Amino acid sequence: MMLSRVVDSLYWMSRYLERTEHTARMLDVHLNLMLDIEPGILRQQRMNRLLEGMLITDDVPEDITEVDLLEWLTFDAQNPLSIISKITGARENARQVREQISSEMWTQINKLYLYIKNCDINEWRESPHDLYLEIKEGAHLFQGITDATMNHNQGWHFIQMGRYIERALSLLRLLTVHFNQTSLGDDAQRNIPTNIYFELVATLKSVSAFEAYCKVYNPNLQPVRIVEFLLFNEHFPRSLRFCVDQTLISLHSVADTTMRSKNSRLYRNAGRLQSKLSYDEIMDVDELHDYMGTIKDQIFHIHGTLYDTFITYSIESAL
Amino acid sequence: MPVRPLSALFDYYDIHEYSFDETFAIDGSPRPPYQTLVDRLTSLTREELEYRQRAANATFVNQGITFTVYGEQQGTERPFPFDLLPRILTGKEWDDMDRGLTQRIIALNRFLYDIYHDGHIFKDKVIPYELVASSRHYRREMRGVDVPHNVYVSICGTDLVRLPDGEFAVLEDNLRVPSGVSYMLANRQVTKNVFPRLFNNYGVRPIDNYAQVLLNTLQSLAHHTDDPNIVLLTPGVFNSAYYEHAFLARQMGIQLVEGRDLLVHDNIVYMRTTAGLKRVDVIYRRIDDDYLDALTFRPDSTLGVNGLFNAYRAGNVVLANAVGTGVADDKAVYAYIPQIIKYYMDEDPILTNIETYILEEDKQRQHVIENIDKLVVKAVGEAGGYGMIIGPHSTKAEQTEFIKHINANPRNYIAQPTLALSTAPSFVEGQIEARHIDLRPFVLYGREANIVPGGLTRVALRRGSLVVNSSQGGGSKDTWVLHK
Amino acid sequence: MYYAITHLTTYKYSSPVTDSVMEVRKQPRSDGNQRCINMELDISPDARTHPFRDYQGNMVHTFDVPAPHTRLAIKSEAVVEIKPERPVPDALPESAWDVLDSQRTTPEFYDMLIPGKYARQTDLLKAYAEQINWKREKNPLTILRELNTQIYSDFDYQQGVTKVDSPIDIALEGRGGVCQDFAHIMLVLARQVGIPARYVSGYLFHREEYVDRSDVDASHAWVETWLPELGWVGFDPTNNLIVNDRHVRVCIGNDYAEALPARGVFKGSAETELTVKVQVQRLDELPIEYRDLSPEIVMPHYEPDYSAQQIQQEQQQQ
Repeated sequence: MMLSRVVDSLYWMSRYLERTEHTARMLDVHLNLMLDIEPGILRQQRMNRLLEGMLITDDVPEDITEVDLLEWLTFDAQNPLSIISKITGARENARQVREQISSEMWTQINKLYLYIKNCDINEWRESPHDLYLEIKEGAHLFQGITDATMNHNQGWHFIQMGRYIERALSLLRLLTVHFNQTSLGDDAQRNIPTNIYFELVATLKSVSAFEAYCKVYNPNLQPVRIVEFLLFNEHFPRSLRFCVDQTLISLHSVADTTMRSKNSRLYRNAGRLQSKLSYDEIMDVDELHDYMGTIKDQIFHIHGTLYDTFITYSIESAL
Repeated sequence: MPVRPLSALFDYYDIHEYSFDETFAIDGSPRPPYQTLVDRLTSLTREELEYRQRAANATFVNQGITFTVYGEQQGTERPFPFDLLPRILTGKEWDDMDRGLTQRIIALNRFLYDIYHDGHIFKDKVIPYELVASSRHYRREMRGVDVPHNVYVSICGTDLVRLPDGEFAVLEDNLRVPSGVSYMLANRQVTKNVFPRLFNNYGVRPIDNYAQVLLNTLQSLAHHTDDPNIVLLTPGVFNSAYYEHAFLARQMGIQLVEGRDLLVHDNIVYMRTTAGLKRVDVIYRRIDDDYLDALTFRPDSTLGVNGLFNAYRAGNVVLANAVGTGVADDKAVYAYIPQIIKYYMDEDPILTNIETYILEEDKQRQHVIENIDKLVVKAVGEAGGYGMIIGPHSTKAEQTEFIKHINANPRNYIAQPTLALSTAPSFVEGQIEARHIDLRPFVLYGREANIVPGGLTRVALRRGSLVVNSSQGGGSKDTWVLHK
Repeated sequence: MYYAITHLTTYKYSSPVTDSVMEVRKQPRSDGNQRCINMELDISPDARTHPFRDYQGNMVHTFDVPAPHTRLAIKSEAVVEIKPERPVPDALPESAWDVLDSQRTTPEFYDMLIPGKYARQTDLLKAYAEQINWKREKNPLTILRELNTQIYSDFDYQQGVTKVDSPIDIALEGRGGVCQDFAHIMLVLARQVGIPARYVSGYLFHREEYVDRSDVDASHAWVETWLPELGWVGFDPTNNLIVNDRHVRVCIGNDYAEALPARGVFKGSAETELTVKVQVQRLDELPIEYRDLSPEIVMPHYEPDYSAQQIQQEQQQQ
């Protein structure tokens, strides 16, 4: 039996941590990319794309240096979208449910938090890359520790759902930002301009997908194939389909444990989304943004009904 | 007079005539129960003891056993100061204490029933009504409310001290939300690791079943179901005793909840789970009355459950301890407990009280003010050693300040002679020295008294200090009650 | 005579609130010369009410509304019978002070001699007491009668200056306020000279020929003091009245804090707007539908039921 408040905290601990990891990866990729881009319009566009990908609507001052921007996005506790804000959110939620997570989990998330909190910013400015690497590894380690030391019970499943829902939403946002042409072109497109090529590499690396992609397709990057891979691939752990599949597994497990009907709106909607992603193919995608917009809405809906079903349900409905 | 040199470790061990030393008689020879311990300690070097101390500390840290001290700058968790050397009580000493504590808790429960019903004790003029009614913890809302088996106090931590003549006396009762039991259990576990052979040789009565006994106690209070849903209500992660709340909940296999997990609908208490609302039957609450219910008590409380008291009054949920028990651990009421025991039990008290001055009474107040440098004055409602002045250890300025408080609100204060608490050996800073201690046994009462042998021996870690409360920097020892 | 009362309390919230938990004290008391024949409570949104007796002997109804709502209405309809009191004499013997003093610390009166959340001493109140030369003299009844009139003359009835939970200093400063303020002032002064006094919340039956200052469309507050030979005697300083048969007593307490007609808590941050409507009608005879109801619908439990006779007897034994 789990308290609603506890799964609420576990879920958000997980979402914040996934968010932290994703942001660290994005910033790291951005940093590398910027090494290959000259100052100018392209650079400005690149920076704006980064911010858009992080859901930041403020405009970047034109003369801001790379490092300053990254510092704001990494260390500024006043910025709710900075890495430190996200890891703080993860840790605060973890602290509330310290009794439910293993002591190794708490130690690890606390360690990660203290690492970034106590980071010497001047040292970081000298070699920013190390921090992002540390965070990525720290987040992975946390997930590994969670899988190894926590009972795979209801609480664990809510952690999984938090992770995969966040991952799916981040991916959709990334794709929305990076593929702003409505049509993806087709296989035949050969000569991709260099800067676009680097962008595509960056997109894949932002979700650690570059190597996995190359194993399935070839290093000749095609936007249409990339989108196909990231949306529909059954086996890649960061694809949208994979995220939804995992979410369904956890949803079913939780339904069994709490003896809830799988016929409710939550399950029917989630099931429908899963089917869609397993049967749709890239050629079914007419208008990418519309397609992804629909899916994003459906995922938000899953989050909402997850809450309505297990956490914030009304008293009258429960008695 | 220092102890006859047994090993250099004991070089600074002082024993005096004005206090009872648990381990050494006045001539410096070890008392019989401690002989084996002293022999063992003599055979150990400082390094060996320091090693054991470090191992013990590490165990506490690894298990996250800490304690937050209010008022400290960071308010951070500190490792719990564990005093390596156990305190030993003979079986006979303990059995006498057990009888005394049992008598006391039965009398207190009858007292609480009486004052919240017909008040015979007032009519018979044993204790003035105003003394009770003016207590901050007297809850008029409890008048006429019935509690299961008329048991108001199910969990009590009674603080005992050993006087210079070797007799035990009650310093105070803690009947609201007593804490410290998790440290008692942790201390035992650690001591078994640190002195395993010694522990075995001695033959110590076990205490590890405390959680089971507590669970049975809580279960016995549920009256409308055979399979009650019991929860532990905690103020939350920022409470200084949170570790204990979590620990006990885990040990008992019950849900740890905060106020926001619970709700009241139609006078029934439910908890919000992922499987729906589940009715709650018994709440082991570690929240003070004031914060329990914003509808009935403090309206600014965010820790409680709105409407809880009405559900409680309607008999739909059990609270352990009951609401309004604090009046019996009001330090001014404490002074009357010998009469209370006599009144309800028709027996003389087995455990004695400490002489107490009630400052609301003019003559007594005058005497106290004139002799404040020799007395200990305490605020009646405060727990944890705050709101208190220890005459002999205070400055003239502190005394003048405190007298102002007394005159402003005399009902709020009592005074007692300074007690020479007994001393026992503590391993501090590489030496074995004498430190003042007290004892807090934990008394459980469901349908009858159940007292785990020993309890928490608290130590005033600063040399000469008499303040043992953990919230003010005291430490604790394992307490061994021998089978014989 | 009989009275039919309708009392509607409505809360409007600026945004939806949830988990409302409330206590309602609208059931008129059955004690003294008054008997509550019937009382019905209607809550909207729908909620089950659960009755209990509080430690002042008031009948309380509690309910909760978990679902989101922006409006909460509590309507009570009550029928009450009041038998006229024998008139209160002008004075009591001076020995009445001694009787009062001997009862000071008994449980029954202790609670009505201590200060409350609102009825407590302030510097301004001390100054007022000096100004009117308030002290123990003559006999308790006479000085209370005088105090009743004194407060009535010294203070204006002014709505809007004080709120229902204002400290009494606001009324003392401006020498104006409403019935709660006058009741609190009288409570403190009566207790000061050792007369047990309690706050009463209820209704006053107004009619044209009565020159009452208090608001006809609201519940009313006055004071009851315990006096030897007489028991609890009601004084209404707002209207300079001694309570007889026009006052309907609903709940009593040490002061306003214990006698609110309705109070509660909810979850959500919304502004609350409270409106109250009261209607009191006099009935010549009891309506048919109530004639078969049992005489007492509530059993006194922990009500301090101290008759004057009993006290006299105890006095003589000493």
